[in-house]
Amino acid sequence: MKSMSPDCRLPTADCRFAEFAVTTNFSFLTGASHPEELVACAVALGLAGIGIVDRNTLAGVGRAHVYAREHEIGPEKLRVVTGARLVFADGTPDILAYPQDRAAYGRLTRLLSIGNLRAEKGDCILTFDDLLDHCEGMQLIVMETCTLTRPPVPHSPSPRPVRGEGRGEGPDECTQVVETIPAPRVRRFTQEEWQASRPVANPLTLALSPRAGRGDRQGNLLDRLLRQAPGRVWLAAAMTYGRGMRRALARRVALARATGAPLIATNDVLMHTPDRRPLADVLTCIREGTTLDAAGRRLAANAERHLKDGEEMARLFREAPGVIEETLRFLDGITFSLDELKYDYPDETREGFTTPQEALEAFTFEGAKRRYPDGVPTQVAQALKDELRLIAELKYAPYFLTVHDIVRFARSQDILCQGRGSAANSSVCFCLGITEVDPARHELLFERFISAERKEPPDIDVDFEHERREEVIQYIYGKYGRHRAGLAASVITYRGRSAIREVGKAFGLTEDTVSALSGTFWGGSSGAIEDQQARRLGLDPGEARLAQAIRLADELNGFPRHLSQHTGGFVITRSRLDDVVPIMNAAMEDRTTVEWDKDDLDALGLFKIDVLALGMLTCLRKSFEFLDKHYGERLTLATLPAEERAIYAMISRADTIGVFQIESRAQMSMLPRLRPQKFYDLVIEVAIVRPGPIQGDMVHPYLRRRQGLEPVKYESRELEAVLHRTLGVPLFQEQAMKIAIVAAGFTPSEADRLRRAMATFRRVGTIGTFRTKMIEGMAERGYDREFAERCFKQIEGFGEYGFPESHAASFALLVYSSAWIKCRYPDVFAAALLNSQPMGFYAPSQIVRDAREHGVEVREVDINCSDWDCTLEAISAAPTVMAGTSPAIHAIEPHQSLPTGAPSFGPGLKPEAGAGRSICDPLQPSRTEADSTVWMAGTSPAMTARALHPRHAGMQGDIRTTHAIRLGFRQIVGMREEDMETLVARRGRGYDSVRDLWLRSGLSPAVLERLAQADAFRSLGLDRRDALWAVRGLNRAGDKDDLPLFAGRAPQECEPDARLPSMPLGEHVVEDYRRLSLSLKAQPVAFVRDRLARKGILRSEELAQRATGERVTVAGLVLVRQRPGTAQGVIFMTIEDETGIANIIVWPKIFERLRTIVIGARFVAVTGKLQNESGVIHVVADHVQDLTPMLSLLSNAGSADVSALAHADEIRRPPTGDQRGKLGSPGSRAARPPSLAIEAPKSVESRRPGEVARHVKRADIHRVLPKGRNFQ
Amino acid sequence: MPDGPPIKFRWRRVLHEVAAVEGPERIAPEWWKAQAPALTRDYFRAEDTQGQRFWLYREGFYARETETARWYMHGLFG
Repeated sequence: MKSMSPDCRLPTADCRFAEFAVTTNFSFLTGASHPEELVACAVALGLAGIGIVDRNTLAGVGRAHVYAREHEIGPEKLRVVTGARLVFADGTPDILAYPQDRAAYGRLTRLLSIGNLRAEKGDCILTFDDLLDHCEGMQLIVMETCTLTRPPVPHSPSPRPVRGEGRGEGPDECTQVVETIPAPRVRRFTQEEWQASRPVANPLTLALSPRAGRGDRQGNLLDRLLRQAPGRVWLAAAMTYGRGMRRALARRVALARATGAPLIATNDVLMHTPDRRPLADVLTCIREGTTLDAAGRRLAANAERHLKDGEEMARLFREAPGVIEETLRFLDGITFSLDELKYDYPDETREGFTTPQEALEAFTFEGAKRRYPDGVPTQVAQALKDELRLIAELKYAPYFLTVHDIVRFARSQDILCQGRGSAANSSVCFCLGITEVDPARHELLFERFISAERKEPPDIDVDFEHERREEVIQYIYGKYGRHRAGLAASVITYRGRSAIREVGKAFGLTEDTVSALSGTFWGGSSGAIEDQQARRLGLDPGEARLAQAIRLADELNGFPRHLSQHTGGFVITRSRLDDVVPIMNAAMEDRTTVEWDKDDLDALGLFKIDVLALGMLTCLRKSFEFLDKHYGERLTLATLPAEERAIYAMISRADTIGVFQIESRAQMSMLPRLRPQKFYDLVIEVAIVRPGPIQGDMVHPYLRRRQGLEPVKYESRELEAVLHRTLGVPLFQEQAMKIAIVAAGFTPSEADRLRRAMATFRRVGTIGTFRTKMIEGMAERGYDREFAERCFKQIEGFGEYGFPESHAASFALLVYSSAWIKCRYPDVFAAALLNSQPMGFYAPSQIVRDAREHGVEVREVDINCSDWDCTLEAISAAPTVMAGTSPAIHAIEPHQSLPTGAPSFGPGLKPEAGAGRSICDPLQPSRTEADSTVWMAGTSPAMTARALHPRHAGMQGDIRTTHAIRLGFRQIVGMREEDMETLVARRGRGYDSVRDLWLRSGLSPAVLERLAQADAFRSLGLDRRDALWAVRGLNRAGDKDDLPLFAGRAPQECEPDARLPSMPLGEHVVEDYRRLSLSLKAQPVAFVRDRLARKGILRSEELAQRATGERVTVAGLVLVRQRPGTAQGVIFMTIEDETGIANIIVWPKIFERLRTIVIGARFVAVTGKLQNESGVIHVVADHVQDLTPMLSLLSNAGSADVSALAHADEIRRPPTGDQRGKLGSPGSRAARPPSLAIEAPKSVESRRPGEVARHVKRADIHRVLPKGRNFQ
Repeated sequence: MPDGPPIKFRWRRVLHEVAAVEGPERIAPEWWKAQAPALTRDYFRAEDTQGQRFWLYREGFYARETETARWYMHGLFG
């Protein structure tokens, strides 16, 4: 068999070729290459053009276009044209639609919008008739088949003699051609088999036969299409090595001849290189919900659908002359480019003025008068003039007006908001009320806020209170209509965890293995799983299948999965939005989104305004309300007393739990070193603990210069101008860009491209070219190469989280404002924070703890005192509710309500002892034997000196709090707001018994039970167990007392006293955590302190007395784990014991070893070296031990039964009848953690305390305690 | 890339001259299986001058996978 194949090389003709059927990975789970990869590959193959056509979407075209533009791939090199692959719902073969000009593009986007809006989110329903209505000006390529529902496998699904079962199994060995060894057995196939794909002598002769190409469905369809779009219809031919490939080509040739539509060559591309075949197969499996082994023919038979060069395409199509040349003709017909998209700002915001500019100036000067009633300061007036001139020049007035309009609406609704972004911090914005950073008050010397040279689109993001942003969004839809306003898309991509999970499933790995593998990822992090990690899981990374799965998961990483809506990026147009970009339904009702994400919009010059949600604004608004109501202070962000020393003193001590931005571990450890003294320091603080400066290694030089340890010097005179405010160290995004311009010789437009590359460089990987340019450019100009490297590294760091100075300034204002409130009114701050949950780093229990450490009294949730939200109660005020009147309260003996067995409730705390005080706090958070927080005990009504934690003693004179926080019902897990509103509305002068509450509020016993479990009946003198007993004892339906007539009567307490065994304090605490996720009674660790002490484990407060370098062990509940992307895998843990919190650093090496404990444990002991740097204490872990099981001791702790504490285990408490519940469904009541399950009394005889079943499922206790929050 | 059909082949000592042929139909190996055949196959249906019908395949891409692709007889049509 020596070369019996004919020579397949064509005589070299001109093989210029353009590929028009290119599916990218924005055809989710179908395309196996990024648009960028396809464009890059097309360039490498020397193609004349590439047409990106995703399935009923334009989502990927922006990426391809931008890639070509950023890489200066001109049309002479490669033309990237825009289209869509229309996949019809009515069985019409797929049609590739390419708009020839801008008008046709608008028709395409409208067509897709129609289809999108007909379908659920992510789907598109189109019919052939829709296309006929919109096809004017479009060039159309008709593919061979409809690929709807089925994956677009090669055109005729191939049988797999080698793979499948049944026929064709196993090739006959030894039947090698030319060899004379006869085969032992040769399979025979039938005549039909043969007919199915009969050889063709020459496709052309077949095509020319009189019967060819007539009367089939495609013929009819083509006729209609050709009538509608004469001269603009092509027939696609693809040679992808399926069965009967040549015969199929012959049919296409014949059809083309019969209809007159020219044939055009494509390769129906799914990937840029054949190497992506495994990934393409995996994608198919994910899409079909099957495994590689089961997928069978749904997988592509071969890897041929990749980009091929002109020569190869010409060879493949040698039997159909002219089809390659046709691609060039097709390309010539298209003039449209995405660059033609021009954005028109909406113009109704000029509101009666002749021009938007006039309107803007009028609003600005009006605002200036309001902001500066005593006259506009000269430098502000000058700034206004300059800025307005620039805005006029760049015609940005409509943009500012649009933002102004939205902000004005928010203010009219009392929704707190603040702008940020590159254009936000201008005098104009301040006067328009968009921002609150007063240019006159804060010495901010902003660079010109928009660069005229760079022509970058203005960018203002506005943050709104997170609870009320929806109102703003609906206002925008209402004002502009859904046809003109849409949300930007957000491309959800596969990340480490989701990638390995999906790939693992496709490989048929067991659920356990997949979970274990995905568990190695931290949050949403990505990156490949390393061998050692796999080995630690007991998996062999050398095993071929596992290795393949891991490799493919890494390849899948970063692939788009689906489009979601951006959190708040709005696109608003003057005319129809669907003329610019396809729109689609969002997952949420009444929302439409566009198909492009914010980077695409930005790159294509479309205007976007970010309407974002910010929890801190909610918190601040609520704080301002409290201040107004309880302290008579009317404050706003702009009028808060500025630059108070006490505030900076607090910040410098890193006493910043809950404070905006600077509450994270990294920020807190920076604060004592940076010691902010003025507003601008906060701006720096906000910006410096960011990936940019950290990666660029700018932090330490800045700190050293600030502390005077290193002289401030500038690399050059030009750089001094750029860097003088940050002591010669670039910290802000715009500084990095300025450096590129003044020091590396970038043109402003190059710098702008660099800025965009920063945002996308990970995806596109284009920043490398800039790198060389910048470093070489700086070196040429005499800069130190090492300095240049650092500058560039910093720019890379800005990639995802760049912080421009103006942005940092807006944030810094929120930092200062929240710090001010926290410092002056910790009660107000904590209550507002609790009422704004979920937000921020810390859980309610830490917020409460921090407030108490600042001398704030925190009172328990109570049916007679609480509202839904947390409220403030005057401390010295006389009892507010039912002052000493209710007989029901005194009818209950104190010993009943306050379990004497628990050491926590000392004699002084019985209800009658609190004569002069509100009945609402019969049970003060008190010291217990286990609780060493002595400083907290002295909350007296008179309150001469505040009881501050020694750590905060210096704040004595700064705090102005005179109120206590009353926790709200919102703190109770699983409570409904409406129910509690009813309770509050009908409370009147107060409820005097459980029964009274039941009858008057009309709440179901289940709700009352929940209140009892949350221990909310203390004002009635009932602890949770007593209250639960009383609730369970309520006469149920059918009782005459249920009748409305009797509802108002004071009920009789006829039930005999139930002498319930007292509940140990530890169990109370566990129950508090279970029901309220915090406890005011004690901190859980206190109960195991003896055991910890025996092991030599320190209290966290003792760490301050230890020297740096000493080896120590501390233990605590894990509150927060944080792994900043920049810290090279270092994990920061915060743990809490009864004396405070301790900060732990876990280095990657240790983390690798103790991964499961660090991620999974709730209670840990950490051993390591102590580091005390300017009062910031860290323990650098060398060992972490999981103490979580120890928490199961809690249920007994505090009771007299010491032996139980020592030998607590499940066996000693055999499960009682209720444990049967375990067998029930997980959601059933019986299966709920039954620790408080007190059987409802069934008869009088049985109502004896001894028969009250009490069973604690210990194993479950640790689950009640917080799992700790993870942050990136 | 030489992926053309055979023009003539010898099988069981008989030389067959190909009159008509369809192919190649390319079947790539099941990459995820450890014992998967490592080479891609190009299947051809061929009719010789005598009217006998064959299904044969060539194993291995020239250049990319192997230097010496080999031919096998997969089956006959009735």
